[in-house]
Amino acid sequence: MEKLYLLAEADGSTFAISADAIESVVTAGEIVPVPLAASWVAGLTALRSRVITVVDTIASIYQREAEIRDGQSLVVVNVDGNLYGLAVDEVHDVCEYSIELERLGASFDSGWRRVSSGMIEADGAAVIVVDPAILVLPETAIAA
Amino acid sequence: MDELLAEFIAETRESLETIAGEIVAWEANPTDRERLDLVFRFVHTVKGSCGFLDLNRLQRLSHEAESALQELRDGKLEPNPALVSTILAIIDRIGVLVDALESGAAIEESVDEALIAALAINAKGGDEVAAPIQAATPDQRNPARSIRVPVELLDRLMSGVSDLVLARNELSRQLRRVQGDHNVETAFERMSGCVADMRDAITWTRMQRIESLFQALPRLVRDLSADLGKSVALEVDGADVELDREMIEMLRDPLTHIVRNALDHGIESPDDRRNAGKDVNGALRIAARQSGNQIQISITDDGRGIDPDKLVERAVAAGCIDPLAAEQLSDEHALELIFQPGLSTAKEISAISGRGVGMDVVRSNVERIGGTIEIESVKGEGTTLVLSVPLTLTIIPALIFGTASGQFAISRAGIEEIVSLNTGSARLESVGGTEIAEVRGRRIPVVRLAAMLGAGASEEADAKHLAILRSSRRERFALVVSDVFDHEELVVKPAAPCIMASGVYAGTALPDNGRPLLLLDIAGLAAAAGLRLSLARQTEGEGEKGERKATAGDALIFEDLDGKRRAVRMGLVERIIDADVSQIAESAGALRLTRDDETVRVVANGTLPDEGIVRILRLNDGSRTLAYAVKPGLVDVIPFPATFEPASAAGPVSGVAVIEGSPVEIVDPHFLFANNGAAAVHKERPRCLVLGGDDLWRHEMLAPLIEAAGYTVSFDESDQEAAVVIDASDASAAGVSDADNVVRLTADPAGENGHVYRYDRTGIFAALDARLKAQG
Repeated sequence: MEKLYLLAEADGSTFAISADAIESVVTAGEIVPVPLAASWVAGLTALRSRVITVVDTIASIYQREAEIRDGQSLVVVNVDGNLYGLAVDEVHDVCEYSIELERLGASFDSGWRRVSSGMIEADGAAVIVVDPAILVLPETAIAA
Repeated sequence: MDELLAEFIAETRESLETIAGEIVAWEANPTDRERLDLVFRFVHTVKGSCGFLDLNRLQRLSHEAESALQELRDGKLEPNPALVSTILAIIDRIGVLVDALESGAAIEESVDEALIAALAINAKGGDEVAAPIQAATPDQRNPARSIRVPVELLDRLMSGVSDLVLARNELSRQLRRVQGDHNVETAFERMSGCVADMRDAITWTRMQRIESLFQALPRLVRDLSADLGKSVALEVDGADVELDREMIEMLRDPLTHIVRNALDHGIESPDDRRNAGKDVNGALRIAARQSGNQIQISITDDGRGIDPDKLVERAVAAGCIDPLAAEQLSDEHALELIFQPGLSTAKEISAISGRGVGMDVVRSNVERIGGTIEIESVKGEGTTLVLSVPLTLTIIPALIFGTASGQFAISRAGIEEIVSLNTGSARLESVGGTEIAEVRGRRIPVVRLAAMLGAGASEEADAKHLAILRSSRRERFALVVSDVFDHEELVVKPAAPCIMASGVYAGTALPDNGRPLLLLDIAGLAAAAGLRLSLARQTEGEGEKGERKATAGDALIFEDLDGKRRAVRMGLVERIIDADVSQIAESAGALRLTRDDETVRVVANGTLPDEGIVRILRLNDGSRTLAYAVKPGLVDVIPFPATFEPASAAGPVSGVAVIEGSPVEIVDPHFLFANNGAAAVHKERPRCLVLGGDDLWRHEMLAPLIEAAGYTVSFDESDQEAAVVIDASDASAAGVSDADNVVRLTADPAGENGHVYRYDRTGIFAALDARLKAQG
C-alpha cells in the first residue's frame, strides 16, 4: 500500500510521519512555556490565531525534558481536534512510500517501539514511521 | 419551488419551537391576549405560506384553526379547555405534516378531518364536547434548525477574524512607529472599530442562550404531566445564560431525561401529595447560572425524594454493590448509586422512564462534555440534580495577570477581589511553615504559583497584589500576583490532553497581543495546592470577629457613580466585589443585586451604566447588608480623616474632608442603612438602642460587641420599641429617661452611680441581661 509520508530529522534520527495528519510545517516562533504539563511539552505558540501545543518530538520518544532550539521546524498535526507542533531539526521531502512492518522488533529502543506504527523503505534506508497520536499522549495515559 | 418549500419547512419548524412555550402559557390562561395573538399569527403565517405553495391539506387545517382563533380574538367565542386542546392538536398536526413534507412520507388524511370536526363541535361551546384528540407525539419531530452551519465553518470564520485582529495589532504597532498623519490614524481607528464589532458578532454566533434548550420544556412538562395525571408547575430561571451551541445540543438529551424522571418518579400523584400535606401541584424548577468556569444547571423537584436505604437495597439486589460495602455507605454516597448502570428505584416500569437505562447514561453524556453531575435528595421533600458543564469554548471575561512564572488568566467570575499588598489593607504572614494572608482581619490560605509551578522562588520578591479567589461557595484562597495587566474577553478552548492532565488549567486562549495564554482552573489550583476546605472555613469564621477591630479608623476612598470622590468607613466594608450590571435589577421597588443565590439592596448615587462592570462595596452594619455601587477603578485605603466639615443637612453624605489636597465626601452609613431596607431587622433577637457617646466608638466598638452578644443594634433615637437601651453619653449627660431598661456607660473605670465602665465587657452584658430579664 502506497502512502504519502513526510521525512523529517531530529537529533540525528530520520523518521517519517504520515502526510494525512499534517496540516503544515512552520518555523518555531515564540513559545510560551506551560508549567506542570508533560515534560516533553515545550509550550504553546500561536499559528494564525490558533494555539498550538509544541512538542519536542525526540523528548517525547524518550520521555525526557523538552528542549527547543532556534531554527527548528514545527510539523503541525491535528490530533483529535487539537493542534500540535512536532519540533524537528530538518524537514526533507514528502514522498509516496509503501509501509513494510507492522511492529518494530524487540531490538529497537522501547521509546521508538511505542511511538511507531511501522517502517518504510526510503531511498534504500529503513525509516521508522512515527504516529503523532501516540507522541502527544499524556504521561498518565502512557503509564496506564 | 423546492427552495421555497425547504424554507417554509425550516421556518415553520423554527416558529413551532419558539411558540411551544407560548402555547402552554396560553393554555394556562386562554384570555391572555398577547399569547393568543402570537398563536394566531403563527397559524395565520402557515396558512398564508400554504396558499402560496399550494399545500391544500395544511392550508385547510390552518385555516380552520385560524377561524377559531379569530373568533376567540373577536370575543365571539369563549375559550374552553376542549377548544384549546383541539387547537393545540391542530398545531401539533401542522408539525407532523411539515415533517412529512420533508421526508415525503405518506400521512393519513382521516386525522385531519377528525380534528376539523372536533374543532367545529368544541367551538360551539355547548355541553357537547368532542373527545380530545391524541396529540401527535412531538418526539418524532426533528429539532431542525433553519440553517445548519457546521461548527467548523464558524471556527474558521472566527479564526479568520482573530487573524484580522492580530494583523490590526501589528499595523497599530507599525503606525505608532512612523507617527503617521492624522487621516491615516482616523481611518485606522475606524477599521479597528469594525474589526472589533465583527469579532464580537462572530464569537457570539457560536453562543446561544440556554433558552433554546429550555424552550421545549414547558411543552414536555405539560404533555408528560397530562399523561401521568399529575399537575406540575414548571419554573425556569436563568434562560439568558449563554452557552456554546454544541454544549446545548449535548445537554438536550440528559436534561430531557432528568425532567422525565422528575415527573415520573419524583413528583407524586395529586392524591399522594394531598395525603403528604403538600401542595397538590408539584413544582419543578430548572435554573441555569454561570459559576466560575462552569455553567450550572439545577433541576429541582419537590417530589418524594430518593430513599437511600431503598436504593442501597436495590443496588445490592442488582449486584451493583457488595453488601458489605453497602453498609459502609453514607447517605450521600448511597445517592450516587443512582448513577450505576441498571438501577431504578421505580416500583414499576412505566412508559415514560424507568427502564433501567437512565441516570448512568445521563451521567456518561454529561461527563463526555467534561461536565459533572451531582445529586441531592431529601426523602419526602424532593430531589435536586446539578449539572455542571465547563465553559470551554465559551467566551469568558478574564483577568490577565503576571507572576514570576509568566502570564496567566483567571475567570473574572472566580475572583472575589484584588487587594494590594502595599496599602496595608492586606499582609502576608508565615504560620507553621505555611503562608496565610490577612485581609481586613480575614485569614485566607495563600497559593504561590511560582512554587507550585516549579519556577524559582527567589524571583518572587515582587509580590504586589493578592487575588482572592473563590474555588467553591465556601472556599477562598489568595493567589500572589506581581502585576495585574488587563481585563479581556477570552475565547477559551480546551488545551491538549498532555496539558490538561496537570489539572490546573481550564484551557487556552489567544488574547489580543497574539501570545497564547493559559486560563487557570481555580478549583484545580486549590486542589493542587492541597488546600483543605475545612481550613478555609475555620479561618473565615475566626476572621469575622477580628475584622471590625482591626480596621477601625480606616477609610476607603472610591469614585462614586456620579463621578465624585467619596469615602466610607472601612470597618463597614465587608467586601469589595465586581458585579455585572445585568445582575442588578429593580425588583420590589428597589434596586437589588442578585448574586450567588442572595439578593442585596443596592444603593446607587447616580445612574448605573447600561452594561459592563460596576464595583460593589458590600456594607454591613452587623445584621444587614447593603451593596453600594461605585465606578470600577482604584479604591484606596487611608486613615480616616480626623476632622471634616459636617454637611448642612442630614443626607447620604455626612461631611467633606480634604484628603491629599482634594475634597472627599464622607458617606453617612447610618443614613444609608436607615433609608434602605429598614425592614430587615431580625425577629428573635432583642433590639438594643444605643444613644449618645462618640459616634466612632459606638458604631465601631460598641455595636459589634452587642451584636455578638445576640442583640440587634439600633441608633435611631426615636425608637420606642427597643427592648433595652444603652446610654453611652457618659455620666454628665442627661439620658433619655430614667426608664428601667437603660444601661448607662461611663469612661471612668471605677464605674460609679450604677454606671458601667465602657470597656467592662462582662459588666455590660450582665447589665443588659438583667434589664432584659426584668421585663420578662
